[in-house]
Amino acid sequence: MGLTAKRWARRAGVVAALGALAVLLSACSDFSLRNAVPPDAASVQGQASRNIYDIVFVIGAAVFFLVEGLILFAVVRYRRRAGDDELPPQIHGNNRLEIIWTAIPIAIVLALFVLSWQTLNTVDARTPTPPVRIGVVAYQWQWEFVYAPEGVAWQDCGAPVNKGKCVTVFGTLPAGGDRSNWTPPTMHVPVNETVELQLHSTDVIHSFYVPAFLFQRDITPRKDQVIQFTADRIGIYRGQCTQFCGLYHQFMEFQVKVESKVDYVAWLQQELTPPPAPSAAPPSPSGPAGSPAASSAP
Amino acid sequence: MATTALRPAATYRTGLYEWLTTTDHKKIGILYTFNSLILFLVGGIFALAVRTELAQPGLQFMTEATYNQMFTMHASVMIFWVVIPFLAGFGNYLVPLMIGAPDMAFPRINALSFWLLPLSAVIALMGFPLGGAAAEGWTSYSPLAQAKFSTGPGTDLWIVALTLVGTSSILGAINFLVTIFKMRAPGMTLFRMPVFVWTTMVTSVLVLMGTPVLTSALIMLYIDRNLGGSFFNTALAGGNAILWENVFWFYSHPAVYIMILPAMGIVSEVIPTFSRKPLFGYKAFVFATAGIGALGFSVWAHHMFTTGSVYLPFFSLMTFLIAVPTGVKMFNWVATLFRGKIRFTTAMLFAVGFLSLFLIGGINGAFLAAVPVDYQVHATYFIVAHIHYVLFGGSIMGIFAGLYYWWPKMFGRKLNEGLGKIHFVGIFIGMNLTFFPMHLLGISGMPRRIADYSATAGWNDLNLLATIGGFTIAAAMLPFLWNIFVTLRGGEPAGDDPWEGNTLEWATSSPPPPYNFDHLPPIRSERPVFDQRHANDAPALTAGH
Amino acid sequence: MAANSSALTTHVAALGESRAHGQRGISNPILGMILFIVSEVMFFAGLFAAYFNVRLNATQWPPFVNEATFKPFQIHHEIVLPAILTTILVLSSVTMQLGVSAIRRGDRTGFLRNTGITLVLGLTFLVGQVYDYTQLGFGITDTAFGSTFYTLTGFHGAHVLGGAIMLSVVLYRGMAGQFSAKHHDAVEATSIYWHFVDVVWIALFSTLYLL
Repeated sequence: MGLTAKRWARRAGVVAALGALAVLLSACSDFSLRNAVPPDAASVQGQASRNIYDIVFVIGAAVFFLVEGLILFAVVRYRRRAGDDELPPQIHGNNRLEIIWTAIPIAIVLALFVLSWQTLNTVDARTPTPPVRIGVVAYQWQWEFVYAPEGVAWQDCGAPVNKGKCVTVFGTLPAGGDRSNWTPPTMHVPVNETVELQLHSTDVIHSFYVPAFLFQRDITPRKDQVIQFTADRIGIYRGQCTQFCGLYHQFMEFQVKVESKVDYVAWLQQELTPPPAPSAAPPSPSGPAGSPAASSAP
Repeated sequence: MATTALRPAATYRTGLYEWLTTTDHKKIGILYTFNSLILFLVGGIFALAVRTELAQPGLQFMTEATYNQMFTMHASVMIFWVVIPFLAGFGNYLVPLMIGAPDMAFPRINALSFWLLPLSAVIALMGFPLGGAAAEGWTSYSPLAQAKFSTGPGTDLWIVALTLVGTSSILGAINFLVTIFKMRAPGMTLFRMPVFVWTTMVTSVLVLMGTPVLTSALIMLYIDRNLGGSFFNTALAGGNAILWENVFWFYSHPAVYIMILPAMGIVSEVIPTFSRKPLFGYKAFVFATAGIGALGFSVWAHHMFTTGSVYLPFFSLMTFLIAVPTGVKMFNWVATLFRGKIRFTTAMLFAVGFLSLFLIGGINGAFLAAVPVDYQVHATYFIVAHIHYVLFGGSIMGIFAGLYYWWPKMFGRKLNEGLGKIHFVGIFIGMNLTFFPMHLLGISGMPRRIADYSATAGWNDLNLLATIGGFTIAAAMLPFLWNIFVTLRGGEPAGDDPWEGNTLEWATSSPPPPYNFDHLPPIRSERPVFDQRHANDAPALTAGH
Repeated sequence: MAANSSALTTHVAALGESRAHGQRGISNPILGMILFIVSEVMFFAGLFAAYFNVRLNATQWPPFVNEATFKPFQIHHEIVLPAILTTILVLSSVTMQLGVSAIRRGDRTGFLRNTGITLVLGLTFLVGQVYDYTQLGFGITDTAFGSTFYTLTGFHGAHVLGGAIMLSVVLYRGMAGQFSAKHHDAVEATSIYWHFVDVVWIALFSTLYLL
């Protein structure tokens, strides 16, 4: 009887899951099997991460099917039949078996460790002379991307002497919290060139995350971070703060627009003339605070 | 000792005064259980609030401020007032019984450990009527947790409450360790202790070494917030936000093992009983438990891979390595099933459910040990999926297995098996519906702890699915609560040993008398009651291979 | 219950025997105290971690009280009083141990005398530390150094106070004649705690004032 319940449990589970899935898929569905794997990497480093992800996934899936298969086999094969009251053999252990199933996992995890460490060296590799440097300022609850010319640090863009030399992209909170007419701030980067981001936070910890780059890095106050990436696919990619940063954390989105070198330079020129926003200084963190309705584009 | 004086009370005095003042480890264990159950419902309601809001894009039911309190208090309640005390409650009830002791070593301190729990829970939840509970996430990272960014009393109440919970845990851990080291019955050597006692012992060591560090962190945070300190306050000279992450995770990673090891212990009692076999590789299992405990203190920084402030290869290696003892345990359990005669009671269903779900929690944990993969999915819903496969698929399934298994011992009556099976099926389906889609949400880039998401991000359906799953879990709790109700009012009498158990708690009455035992069977192995039952069988049957 | 126990063997090992078993080795209260001290060590380890973190990240040591005026903490210059306090606390550990030895021999007078002296020395330390606080010229809000300094010494002081309360209880119970050569677990446990408090202070004094 217990067995029947178990069987029914499993059948009902599968049916319910498939049913729910089918209903969803037929009804509206923004789900696709595409979601079942990470995004196609849009950067060189992201591709490296994706490769190690795939390796871990294959090994993980193999372990999953092996062990779940063993469990399923055992509970079906060794279920107690009605009326069977005999004691099964009392097996306390088996040294050879136990050594094997300790040694093999050790070998697997050591291999994974070495592989992931090698990948890490690719992902974290840095060139001393990146062609593009962008200052990224995170604050509650938006982003600011600062493009300084050669020889000017992005932090100095606010100085009067540098007036008109820098391009700054400001983010704003959506008016009334309504996302429908809202565009998150866009970071423009040229394709196939190494871009260095200098990450800076003015208040709490944020995190710079672009799923298509398969990468994120926390932005801790007083601990500026420098990261580099090389985008290799033209397109617009979403990004978002992943480190919970307070009330309007959900609105800390941005976009990365990867474009050809020509388009990128043209965009930069267009932003430089006529002189852009009134001031390139970072807006005070309390600028867009209050209700999202209070904020408006500068 | 005056054993005769202890004899008469086969039944409990059940007056309210008796329950409020009891120092009997069994009653305290039952108090732990019910306190945790009530708070499980509270934490569950917070979770439903979160899932309801996330069912569709757009804010429908609450503001961001409310949402942030909901997910913060969901995690805080579930970790500090449900899973940890639930398992400590099992420890309280079972450890003295399993080692043949009359009570815990320090019964009055034991009562104090318990009463700190409802007190602290009330303090933490007081934030809601007093202008907002803590809303920084249960990790409470500075500077967000500093007074400048988190005004209101909620965060301070949370700090005070957690300090009290920590005190409760530390006192409990001391009590367990002294009880286990000093109060074992004659013949109960360390390597004859039930595995559950071993896991409680290792857990107690983790609590003893880890929890005080959390206490120190909380005190520093309190000083920052209220006395102008600058430990973690980056607005002041010398303040270091990463310091909080280090001291916090130094406790909070071992806390995951505090929450899973006793559940592993429960499963290691249930599976052998219902397979009618000894646990395969008892000693290996014990060493694996100790190994997890030891490695558990060297992996905390894997929560900080993305900070750019930790030495990655060391913590990555240690995190990978901790999969090995966990894997050993998994194979031990599966090998225990092999060639057994498996009875599918509700307790066994939950135990097998633990195996199949905790396995997923282990495998997706290995993803996170690989630093480049962690760069990708850290702080996304993948993490939420991972921790729920560990804490729900692992700890909570283990707790339910334990409840169905030891309820007859605690109350003398068996929980209804039919209702129990409905409960299991609902939990198993609901759990997977809720948490499996979160893997997919995570790898497609949905950050955790967001109150709302863009309708065009491709996350709508998976979120809806997870919400349906959440309500399935909630619905599955109803037969369980009904089951408790009908069983307390008159369930099937259990008898002393309803499952043919192996360990000493089955050698006394159900419920056991005060001070537990009139007579103990001889203890010659880790299964004294089994040995007793089969003393006259042919030796070939009980001998090992 | 009775029905079940009849099914068991006659190996009677209930309450009495298991308690007798527990009496071997160190007693429960002393083991409990040792474990409690393990947790206390970890608590102070957390605070020390904060201190060394501040120190490793500082541009100069001792740090400036105020980054604008470049006035450093004069902590190393004010070492006389803390050194005296250290001596007092170490002495109190000696008298504590003398008291424990006395009660182990059954010498109640010597035990009471030494415990009383220990208590007085402990209280003297506390008074001295409060006085020291008034003389330092910086507060808990003065940079991360001020925060760590007062948190470390303050929590140590709270532990001395806790120890003094335990000593008072031991003294009171001793005067009531509750301790003997065979029965004095509370004295042993208190002495272990007192030595621990002493050791923490030596570590604190070394790192804060000397290092």
